[in-house]
Amino acid sequence: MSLLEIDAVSRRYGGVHAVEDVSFTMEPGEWIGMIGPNGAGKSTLFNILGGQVAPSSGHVRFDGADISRMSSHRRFHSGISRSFQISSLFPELTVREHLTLACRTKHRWSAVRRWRGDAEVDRAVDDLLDRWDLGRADGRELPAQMSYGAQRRLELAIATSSRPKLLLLDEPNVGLTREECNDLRDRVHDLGQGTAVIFVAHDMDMVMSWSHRILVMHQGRLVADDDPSAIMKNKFVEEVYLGAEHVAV
Amino acid sequence: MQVVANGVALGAVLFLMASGLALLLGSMGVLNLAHGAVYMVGAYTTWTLAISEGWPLIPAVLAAGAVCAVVGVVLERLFRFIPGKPNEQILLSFGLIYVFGNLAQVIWGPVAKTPFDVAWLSGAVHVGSVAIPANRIAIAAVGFAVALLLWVVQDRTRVGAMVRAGMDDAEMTRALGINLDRVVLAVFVLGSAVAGIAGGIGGLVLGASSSQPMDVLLLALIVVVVGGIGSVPGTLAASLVIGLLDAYSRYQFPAMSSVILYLLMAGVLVLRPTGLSGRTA
Amino acid sequence: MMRTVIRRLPVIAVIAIGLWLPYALDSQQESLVTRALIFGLMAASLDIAYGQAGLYSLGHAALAGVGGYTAGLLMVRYDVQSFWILVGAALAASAVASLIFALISLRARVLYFILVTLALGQMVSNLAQQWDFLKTSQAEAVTGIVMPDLGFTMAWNPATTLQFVVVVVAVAMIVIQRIIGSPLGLAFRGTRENEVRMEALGYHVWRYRVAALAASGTMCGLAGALFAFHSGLISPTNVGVAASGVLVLMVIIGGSGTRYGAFVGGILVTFLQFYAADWSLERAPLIIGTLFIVTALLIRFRPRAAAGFKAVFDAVTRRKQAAHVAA
Repeated sequence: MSLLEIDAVSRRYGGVHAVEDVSFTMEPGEWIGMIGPNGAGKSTLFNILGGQVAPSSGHVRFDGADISRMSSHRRFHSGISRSFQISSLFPELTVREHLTLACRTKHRWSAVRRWRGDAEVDRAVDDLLDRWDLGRADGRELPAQMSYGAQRRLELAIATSSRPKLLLLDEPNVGLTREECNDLRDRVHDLGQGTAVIFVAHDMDMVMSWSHRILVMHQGRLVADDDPSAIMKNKFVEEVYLGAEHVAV
Repeated sequence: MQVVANGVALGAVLFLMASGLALLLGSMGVLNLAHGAVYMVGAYTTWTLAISEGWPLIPAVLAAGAVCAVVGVVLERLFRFIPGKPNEQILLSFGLIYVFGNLAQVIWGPVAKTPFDVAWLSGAVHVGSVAIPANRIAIAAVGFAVALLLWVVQDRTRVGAMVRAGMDDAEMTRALGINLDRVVLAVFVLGSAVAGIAGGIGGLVLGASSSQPMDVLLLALIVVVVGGIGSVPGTLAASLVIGLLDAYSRYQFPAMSSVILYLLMAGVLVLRPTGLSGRTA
Repeated sequence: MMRTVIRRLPVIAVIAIGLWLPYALDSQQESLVTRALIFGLMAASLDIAYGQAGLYSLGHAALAGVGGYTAGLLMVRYDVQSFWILVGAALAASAVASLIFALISLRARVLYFILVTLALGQMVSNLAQQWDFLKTSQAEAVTGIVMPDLGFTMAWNPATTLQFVVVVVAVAMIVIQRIIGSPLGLAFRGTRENEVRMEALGYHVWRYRVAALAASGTMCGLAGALFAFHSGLISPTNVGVAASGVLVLMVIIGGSGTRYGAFVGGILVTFLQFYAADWSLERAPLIIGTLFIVTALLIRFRPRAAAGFKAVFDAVTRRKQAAHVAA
């Protein structure tokens, strides 16, 4: 039984097929890169995986259970976590508060404790502040006061904080330097051998070096599913996408 | 039968009110709670012209509509001036309700005006064995005429298309080069004029009073919630349902009539959150 | 221990002033201050949902009213005199009412939600106007309410009433502050800021919203009961749209989402209403309305400065939050 099974998943909006009949499976610890031109359906598929959007037909199975209609908050607890392409942060909350929200899974409902003062959570937050280099002003900054790169790091810190079984990264490299990007890969690796990762990116070098496997999307369909070297040699893929895109973004 | 006539008349008035409100809410997300105040201005203006000055009714109502259109321009300026967030819109709206309501008392006195008595409409029309008050028919006629006009504008004209586009996706509409600001102004003006006409013609049944800003607003809100935003037929249907329900419950259960309307609203919300036919806001 | 005392100093100071005040004021002023404190509490309660959780409810006076009517009716119809039973019943009733309120209104999306709360609030007011059970006199109100029995002898006069209300409001505000500063409070703010992100982080947003409305409605119910005791009567006007609107205005003017903003807003607007009516009863709405319009217009210019007291409180509360964080 695979970790993740996408079974003939489609998503229609009126007459438009954003995603059409996509199927693939994934094992624990696999890193899959998803590429394709804009409008190919990558974001929609991500939203289906993350639970923000429900499929029109088909099934999504995770860890044996059918999660097709499962809400995103329950998916989080099942072990799926995602980052957003455009940083999805809380405008009026400090960095510390962001991380506390992400780290605190116990006592989320407590109205009697102080939100800060739980030793375990505070340690986790301090650790994250350190690891992701977010410690400026002791974590008291608001997103608007941070640099774009810092915002991206915060976004990723939140997404990875829960040590998920499946991590969905939507264009994680945007706004990061080459160095920061490699850094990111190391940090995700640190999450553990078993962490499966699906990521969307347009940077071919990154995709090549990160992935065990590459999925190519085009007009809502999955047109190729293979390991990196095979994808490089795939004529159709080259035609559709790689030809223009190999000049890395 | 009297009940049905009352219901339809009220429904027509509600329709006029609710369409303006729904347009603003749906297209621009503008929370204009002062819409009911415009109704009141229309009612009082019509009273002044038709009852106090002796104008014929139709010109008086149309003039009231024009006055309210001007008020609409002023409102639009004010709403454009403040940040577009709920807090500020609520502050402004409530402030306007207080001010308009109190000014009405200053100008027209604290006693409400009784339903307008207009000579040529004071009789009844006999259909078979049933006598329908003429003024109810007049109201319904005006209501349906405006409904038709609005439907034509929204569905068949360019302006209407722009409004609908704005409702669906404001940013994209702007990106297409459409001046959404002008459209907002048009909606304010048109919506206010219609509210003014509603106040004028509705005065035949509801009179004019300084508590109307809130009273009429609430009824219009129920219509908007039940009917959904974005379709003229939907708003029309909801208005009629609510008008009839109100008339019927006043007749049968006078003690609980207003509560029944709110229960309906609650029921619709629980069963079908986007309203009978609406798109999501 | 010493650190706790120092941190709590502002609160202790306020309570001490409150208890001392009666010796410095005449009875009309005392009554005004009492009323102001009650509305301060009501506004602060509303703010749990409004400012903290971002739920723009225009129907909270109805929830306060449920508390007030429960206490009033029990006292007048059933001769219940004990403060503890009356308040307990008021809290229970408003908690239930808040839950129902939440379940219905949360079916609606953002803008619709505002309208629905408006209508639900008015529905309660109409109910109060038309259901005979809720009227105890010729006037459509519950009259004849007096200050309740505390279980020990207490001579009720404006001064002692004020002192009593100071204590109750202080305790209630401590509870509210506790909620705001807790993980639950942080979660409320999260759902206010970014619903999708919260869900993706494992928070069932709907449930938190229900909780916010329930907490805020229940505390409003307490304030409503205090209102009934203090005013001696409670009527449909106290629970209708106009009253809810004023409550929201108190929150906005004082500064929604801050620690003490709404509380201060409640006090301020109460004073405002009193002095405006004192100056000219007929023109009071005009004055207040104009003030609201002007405030709304000014916010555009300097968001921090125009929402004057809000800016001050933002500064103070940032420091207060920092103090808590450092603890």
